[in-house]
Amino acid sequence: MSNGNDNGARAMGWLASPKLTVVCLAVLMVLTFWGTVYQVEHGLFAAQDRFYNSWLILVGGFVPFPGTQFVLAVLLVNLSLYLVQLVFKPRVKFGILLIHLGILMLLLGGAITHYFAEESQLTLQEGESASASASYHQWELALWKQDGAVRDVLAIDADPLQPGDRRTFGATGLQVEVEQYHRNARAFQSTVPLTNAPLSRLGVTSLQAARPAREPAGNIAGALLTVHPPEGAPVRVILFGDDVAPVEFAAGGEHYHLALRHRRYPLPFVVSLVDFEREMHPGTEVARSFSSKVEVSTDGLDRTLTISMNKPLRERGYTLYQASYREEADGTQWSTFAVARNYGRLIPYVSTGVVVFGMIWHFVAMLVRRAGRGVA
Amino acid sequence: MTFTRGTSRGMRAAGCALAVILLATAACAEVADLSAFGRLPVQAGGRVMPVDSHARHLLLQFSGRSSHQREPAVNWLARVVFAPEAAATQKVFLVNHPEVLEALDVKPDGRRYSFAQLRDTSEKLRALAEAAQQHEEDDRSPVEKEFLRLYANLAAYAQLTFSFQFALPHPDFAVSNAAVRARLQMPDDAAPPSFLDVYQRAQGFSAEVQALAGTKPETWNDEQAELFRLSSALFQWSQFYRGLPIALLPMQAHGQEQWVSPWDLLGFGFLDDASRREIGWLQDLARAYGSSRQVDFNLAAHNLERSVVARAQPSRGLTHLKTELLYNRLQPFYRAKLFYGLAFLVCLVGMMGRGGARDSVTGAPWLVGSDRSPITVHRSPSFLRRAAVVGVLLALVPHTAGIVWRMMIMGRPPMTNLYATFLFVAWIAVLLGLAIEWFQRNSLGTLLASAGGLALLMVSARFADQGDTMGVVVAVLDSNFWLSTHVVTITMGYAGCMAAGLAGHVYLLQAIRRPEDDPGLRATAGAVYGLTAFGLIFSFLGTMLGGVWADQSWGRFWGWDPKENGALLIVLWCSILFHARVARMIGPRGFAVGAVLGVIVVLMAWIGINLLGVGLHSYGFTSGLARGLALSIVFEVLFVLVTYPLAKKSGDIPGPKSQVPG
Repeated sequence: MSNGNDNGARAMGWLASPKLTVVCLAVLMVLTFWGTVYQVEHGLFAAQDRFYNSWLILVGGFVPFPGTQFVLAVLLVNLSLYLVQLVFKPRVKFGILLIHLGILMLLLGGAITHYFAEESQLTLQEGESASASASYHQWELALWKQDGAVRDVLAIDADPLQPGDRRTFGATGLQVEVEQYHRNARAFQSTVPLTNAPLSRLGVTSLQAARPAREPAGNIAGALLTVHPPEGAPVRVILFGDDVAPVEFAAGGEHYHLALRHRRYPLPFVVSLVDFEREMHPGTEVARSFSSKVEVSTDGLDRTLTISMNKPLRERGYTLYQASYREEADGTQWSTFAVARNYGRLIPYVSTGVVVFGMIWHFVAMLVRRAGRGVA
Repeated sequence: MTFTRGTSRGMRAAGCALAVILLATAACAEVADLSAFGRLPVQAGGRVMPVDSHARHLLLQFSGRSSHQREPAVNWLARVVFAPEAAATQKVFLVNHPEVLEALDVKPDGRRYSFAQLRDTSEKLRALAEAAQQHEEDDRSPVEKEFLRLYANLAAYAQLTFSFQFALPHPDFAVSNAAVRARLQMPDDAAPPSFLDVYQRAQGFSAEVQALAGTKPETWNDEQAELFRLSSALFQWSQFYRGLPIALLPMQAHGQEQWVSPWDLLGFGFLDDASRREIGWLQDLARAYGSSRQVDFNLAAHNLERSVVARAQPSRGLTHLKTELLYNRLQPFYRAKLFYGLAFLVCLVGMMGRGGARDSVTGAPWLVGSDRSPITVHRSPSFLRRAAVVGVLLALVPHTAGIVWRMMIMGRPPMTNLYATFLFVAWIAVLLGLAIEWFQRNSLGTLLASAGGLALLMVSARFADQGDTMGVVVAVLDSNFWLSTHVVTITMGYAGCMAAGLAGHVYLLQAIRRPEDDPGLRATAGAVYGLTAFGLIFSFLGTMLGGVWADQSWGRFWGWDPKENGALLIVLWCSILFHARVARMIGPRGFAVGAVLGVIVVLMAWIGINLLGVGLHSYGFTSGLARGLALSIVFEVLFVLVTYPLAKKSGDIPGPKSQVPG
């Protein structure tokens, strides 16, 4: 029994030891470096996916190597146990305690952001309004009946769809059967008229899978579906993500709109782009600043304000940042905002302060102690 | 790349440079003192600067140097614009790749070539550059990049040679008809008039020429034919010489100020009295230069400067014209290098002479040793130690002044590009060395300060052509509190780790040379430890502030982006060292080795990351940087491999016993 206790204590000691910290940090360094180099060839998203958001990496397809999530989890255990141990120590160094508490907060904050934060974007032309932002790369099948200012939209997450899948749009009873779904598709038009062509707004007659883009935001999804209404004949539909307008069809006496689009996130307010402005450095093509004048309408209260680089809009837990812009030759301007919703947003701010304060405390205390000894 | 915009005009201009140079008849006499010309304000690279700076930037861009054959850049520029034929033989075009010479069929003759040597190849170079242009930037080979770079430089140079043609006599405007000459009140001297001479008199005959347009040339008399010829020459020249450098004159249009070249001002026709006078002074400048009249040259330059400064809207560049001139003239970083070098030599001499002089040190606060007794260290002879400290302090004065001047001129924190970060890292490293000297008083700090300052400033000079120009920065990098603090702190982190690495070298060498000098080793180990701690604190803070900036700017704190990862690597490496030390996995010797290897980590984060990215447009820059980086890494690894086994374990002292694991 006592042997078991000994072993347990030894395991605990090892799990809380700085040796394990060194191993974790070293593996993390390897991952960080490897992922950075990997980005050059495969892009940021692939690197995040393979190295930073993963628990396990298979090198060459079969050699397992711990992923960043795994290493961070071990570090979290290591750090927590170390801090628990500290409680039982007679003399605790205040600086060391602060540093490690701060790092613990930072890791937890990172986890909250990783699992709960929402990131999307919103592109508006001058004069346009919106009350929903769009995902960067996730797609959805959206269905609604009436087309107007207010719509009741039913949506299905499109990315997991496989040929043969059947999904039902809630209360409408409308069922879609997937014939093809490509995360990145190329659309083709038949040069000869087809007798039984699927319904498509742009006259697309077939789809082909394309190689996934380097960054998933560059993918354009495409789907070939058969829509089975509760009563009446089924309708074959081709949806291509490049076309923002929906396919319209009638089934069971109802008029439907069906679209394949970037997943939408409803916003609790309406944003309208009033004016977009950019300023160049004199005599150059280098942008000095760009800013968007927007009108925000929350619960019937309107206000006008400016979103610019380094000056975001914060409203109801959402933050809108000036991300980029597009300008056509005819002067039409679009402004793109990054939209973020993150409950853990302030945690890194606080933990950074705690860690840095702890470090300064620790090293200055050390300096003072040594100076005192030297004089003594 | 400006090349695409300027290609067709550049091609045309390059082709025509030959013609101009053959036709130009001005004498090769010149003015000796160009300082008045150098003081003129000009808009370039998105800001207003003195011509002196602009000349340096152009020369750096062409030749990779900021002076030509010991002559200030402004003398070279004056020759290019006022007497192009005399400048054509000066070797200012840097060719980085021998294959370029081979392709152009130019006989290899050093690294730099003159316009005269290259102008005959302009057609071939143009074809090669256009072919290179067809490829995506990432896919271009180093030789193709060099074609493009050289071609862009030749085109820019050719444009410069045209910038003052409006003021120089030209046969196109020679008036043979005596009646016309009398009517236009042209003097009867031998030199033909310039474009400007005729332009200023064109009001008097424009209506007449317009009336001629509907009639047949056979019906014109000699006077009418001459006037028509002059008028069409004026029109052709003003069409041809558009969009040329140098933007010397401010112009108010639509409520906004725009700086334009004299050509464009004449072409737009927005001439008020003041700008008319200014163009006249520009012509005076060109003529006085050609006939070596120094007093007239200075007078015209002074009048022009006063008028332009009074007329232009206030801007940072205009306010700091004098500061920038001072910065250019004093070359503060060059002076700093000299003094660091001297201090370093004095340190070395002091170390050679460190025979038996031992001293007890009572105030060495960050020594790692656990015993409480005062420790004994070797000391260099007192006067040499002091002399070295004085040398470092003397170097620090111009070093600091240079950084402050750059901040004043740019209105930004001192890190706007790689060049500027080197200057700042060197500065912080020197301050850290001085701090160590203050505590330890054993020349270690002075050694670190002088060697660090000298080495980093010498490396920075390699990037001067990229960074000394103080260009503008894109919107997202524009002045922002979080960004500024992030860049400053992360750079301080770099400096701490670099200085720690330097001290690590000293420790390892010391452990080989004097393994018995335990107190000396302990003192150095303490310095390595303290500097690494400094590096850790600031790189952690800098990394986090980078996250704060990213969160403030686009809503995500951390995204595993290469630059973030680079900073993280430094933090991780320093943390590993401290934890390994606490876990007794390494002693002072291992810690010193870690600090030396930390230099590699810093270089990777600081420079290596930039090389991963795309968009570094100059072959010489990228390959030179990559080679330098690779060489430094190889050197550090070899250094560790050689010194670690030699540094006897007997030189090690045990780590602190009282340390709490963490």
